[in-house]
Amino acid sequence: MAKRDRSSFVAGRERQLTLLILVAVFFTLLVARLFTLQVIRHDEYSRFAKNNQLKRERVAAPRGYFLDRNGEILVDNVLHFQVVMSWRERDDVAAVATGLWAYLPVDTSKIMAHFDAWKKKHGRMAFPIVPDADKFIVSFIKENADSFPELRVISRARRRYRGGELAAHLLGFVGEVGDREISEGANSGKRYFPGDMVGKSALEAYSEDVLRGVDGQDVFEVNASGRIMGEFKKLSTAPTPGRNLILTIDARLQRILEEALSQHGPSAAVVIDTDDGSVIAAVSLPQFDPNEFATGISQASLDRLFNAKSKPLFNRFSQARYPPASTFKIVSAYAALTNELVRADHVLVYCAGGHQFGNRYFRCWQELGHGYMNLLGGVIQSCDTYFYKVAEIMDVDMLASSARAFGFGEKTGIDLPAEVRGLVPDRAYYDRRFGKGKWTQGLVLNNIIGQGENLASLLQVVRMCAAVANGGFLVTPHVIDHIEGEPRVAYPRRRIPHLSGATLRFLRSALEGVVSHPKGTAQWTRLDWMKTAGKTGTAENPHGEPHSWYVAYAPADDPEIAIAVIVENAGHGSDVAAPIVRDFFREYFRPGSTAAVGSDVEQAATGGGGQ
Amino acid sequence: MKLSRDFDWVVLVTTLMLCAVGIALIYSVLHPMVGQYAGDMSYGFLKRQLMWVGLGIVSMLIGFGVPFRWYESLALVVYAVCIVLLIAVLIIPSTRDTQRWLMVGPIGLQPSEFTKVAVLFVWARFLSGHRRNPNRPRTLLLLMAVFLLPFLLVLKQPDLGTAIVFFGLLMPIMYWRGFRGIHILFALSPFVSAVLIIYGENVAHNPWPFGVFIVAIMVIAYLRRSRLIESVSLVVANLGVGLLLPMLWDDLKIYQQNRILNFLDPGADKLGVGWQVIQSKIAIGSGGVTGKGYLAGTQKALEFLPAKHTDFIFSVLGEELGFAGAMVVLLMFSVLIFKALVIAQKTKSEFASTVCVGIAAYFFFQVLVNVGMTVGMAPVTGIPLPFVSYGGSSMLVSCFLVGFLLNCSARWYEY
Repeated sequence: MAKRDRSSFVAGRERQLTLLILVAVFFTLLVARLFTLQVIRHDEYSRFAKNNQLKRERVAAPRGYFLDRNGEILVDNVLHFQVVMSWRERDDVAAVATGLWAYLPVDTSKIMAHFDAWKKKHGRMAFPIVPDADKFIVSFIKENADSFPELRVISRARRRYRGGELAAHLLGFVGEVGDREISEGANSGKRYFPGDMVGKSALEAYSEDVLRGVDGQDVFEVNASGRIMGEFKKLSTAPTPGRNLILTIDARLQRILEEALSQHGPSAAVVIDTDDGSVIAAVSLPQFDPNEFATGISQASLDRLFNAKSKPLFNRFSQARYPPASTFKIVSAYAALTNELVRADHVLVYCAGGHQFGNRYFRCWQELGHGYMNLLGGVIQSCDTYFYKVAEIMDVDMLASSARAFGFGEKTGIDLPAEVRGLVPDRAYYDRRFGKGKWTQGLVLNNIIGQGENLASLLQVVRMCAAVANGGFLVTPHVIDHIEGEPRVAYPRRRIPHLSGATLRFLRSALEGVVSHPKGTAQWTRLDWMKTAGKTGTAENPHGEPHSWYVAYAPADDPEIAIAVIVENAGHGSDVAAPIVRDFFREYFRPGSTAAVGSDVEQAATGGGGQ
Repeated sequence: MKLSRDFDWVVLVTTLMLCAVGIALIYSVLHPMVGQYAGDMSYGFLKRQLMWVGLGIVSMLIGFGVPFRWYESLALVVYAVCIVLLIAVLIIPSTRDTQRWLMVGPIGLQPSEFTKVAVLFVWARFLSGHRRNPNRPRTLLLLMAVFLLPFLLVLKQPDLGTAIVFFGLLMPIMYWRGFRGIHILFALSPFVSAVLIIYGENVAHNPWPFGVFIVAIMVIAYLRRSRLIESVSLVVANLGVGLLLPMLWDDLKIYQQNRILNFLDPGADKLGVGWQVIQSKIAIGSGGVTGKGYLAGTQKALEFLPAKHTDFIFSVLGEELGFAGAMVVLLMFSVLIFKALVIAQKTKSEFASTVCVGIAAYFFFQVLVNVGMTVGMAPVTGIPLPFVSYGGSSMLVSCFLVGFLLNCSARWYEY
């Protein structure tokens, strides 16, 4: 049958010939190209091959800066000089080192030790024979270029953190790229070389791709008398600098907050804009000086940082999990009201300093008791007994879902690496941990006052507070306002489900009462000229004194900022954390203060307030 | 014996000579390293290449021994197996840096190489006998579908070069099977559009390349006086690509985008690929007419040529054996391609004939792209030089195809 169809099968000699001609044409092009390279331009290419004269050097792209919201430069780069030597064998290096030693204050044995280490790690890369050259050495090398033809002076950029320790946990630090980063970078299209500095933590790491520019290269002949062929010259490229980041941080306020916290031990604080979640200041103490990492940190300092009991490298506002303690009563009150377990003005218990449940007695923090309590009083005076009573009739999952509604148990989405989720215990969690039916409602009594298995980060707590202040929106805390030259980044925010206007009004008046009520736990932080609102907390902790919490927003009538402070092992929230906040509010809202006047951030986001 | 009378000894001898050249060059590449590294390590490549040539001969015997009618019947089965392997490669975690390899014991195989043969078989089967009228649009869509499935799987692994070879195979066999020009254009144009859009947006930074192309195909469709429905669908298909592509593009990972961009604009990557090509050109150019002599190359020792025993082996050839050596090797490939086209003409089976043209196209493209890249004329992709470059999958496939050619040459009278 195929035979019959042979006529329509057009594959005739004609088509065969066409294909052959196509092959011939393309192969002729290849031959012509080879002829050009190997016959016509043979001499040029063999010159480059013979002495291997063509060299190239990478020109590292300068890393992008960090600026605060007012344009103050927080991090930049400074130039420093190195004398480098093209690749040579060990003996040649020794000879040059001895030559330098005759004129300059250099240590030859140190150079050789350095060289051996360098060779092991970097192979045949140009060797920095004087890694940190001063002006005298630089001018000497330049003047005596003829005697030392193999030496060149190069300038390298070094990261400079202008504020020293300022905002160290936000900015992070850079360090030499590791082998794993090099190979992983190669897979994702980034090209790192041994000796490159890359972001290792916080913003430096989070924004590595933006901060890092594109390296260029310099192609040149080793023998200066030779000319460089056009096609090689074209290979030289200028580096593309990294992008600058404009942060939401206010350096002045950051400084003030760090100063205030430094009066105490390990502690942390975050201030965010209630409407859009931009972080105005975020402190974790103790901190460290990132400049040490940029210059090549010594092993001793590194050991000190890693082994110190106060963990200076540990970011306490985004990586630490604390019991939210009584600050969590905001969620508990929301849970009780939304599920109609109680009415706000209904007196539920008489607090005599604690509550008997089953065979256990749950203590209120106020041993003398609060007397008759309704929900409002329970929040204002932080009465544990009231909430114990509520917990008796509250399902564990009801509390858990309320906590999730306020953003607990999930990352807040801040633009920093390694944020913790915290822990919202629910039925599934307890079943897994203790076994089905092997735990009691007593656990809820602990959870409802923010203790027990309940764990949260400072960011989650400040975001909860901001949500009350801004009319029920969970914002995304963020530190990057925008990349220089690009539009402002839009960060998502979402409405808290089932938060009724009445509940919201109740929560706000309760938090105001904490400050303004004569029995409020934060009454000492009252300011004459501005209403503020907040909630204290005292996180019991098996390792020592309780942690002191205070979370607040201000002004109470038209909130601008929310702040959360925790001071580890400092006792009651009202004693330590609350006064820090009061002082910060004073500073922030002080007439003439830069922050209080025209914060444009606020204008951008009030549109969707929906109060 | 009819078999031995028509057996094409020239094809067999040329192939074996090319294999010998490959082994000699790999030895030469490894030669200067012997002192530097442990001897076993360096000669390991040579031993393994010898093993691959051995396995290649087995694969050639399979291509030769099995009647091509069987391949015609089994084409879809082979195709299905290859698709499964491609998916397996995507799923199974790989020890190598890109997901292209399937480990069979210690041996790494690249299913994408074998897929080329499978797709070729299926195409040839669809296009032979009464099965499909080549000039019906449905046939064209079917052909594209056969190729699109593995193409997308291959594209997900970052290996655009292999994907492009598919097109290099399709165009000649469509021509061979008597497709009308407009249909060949139809098959090729969405891909060209895609490339032009990416090029325009990321390299040239203007929409002109795509715009001009769209106008050009409209003009061609008009001049060829093709049917209205064909012309309209041609333009719609291309505009569709233009609308969908930006979305797909944003879904790609940065490194995948970069691979494609480096392919389209090799000059942009001056630090990596550009440097590699320059070193290759210095090696080849410094070889001169007669070369520096076998084992006497200098550039190969300098670690300038990264893939010198695989993709860039032609640079070593050019350096050590010069223009003369390069010509001899190119001549050998020309002989293979010429023979493949001659056999295609002679063979009575339409299936076998179509496959033979595909084989000619396969060798042509591999040589053109590989050699072109070493002399800076073609983008740098992972396409090896058949029989010469170190590597297993390419060797097995190339030898199998030669076996198939010999098969056709000996049984040309069969249908």
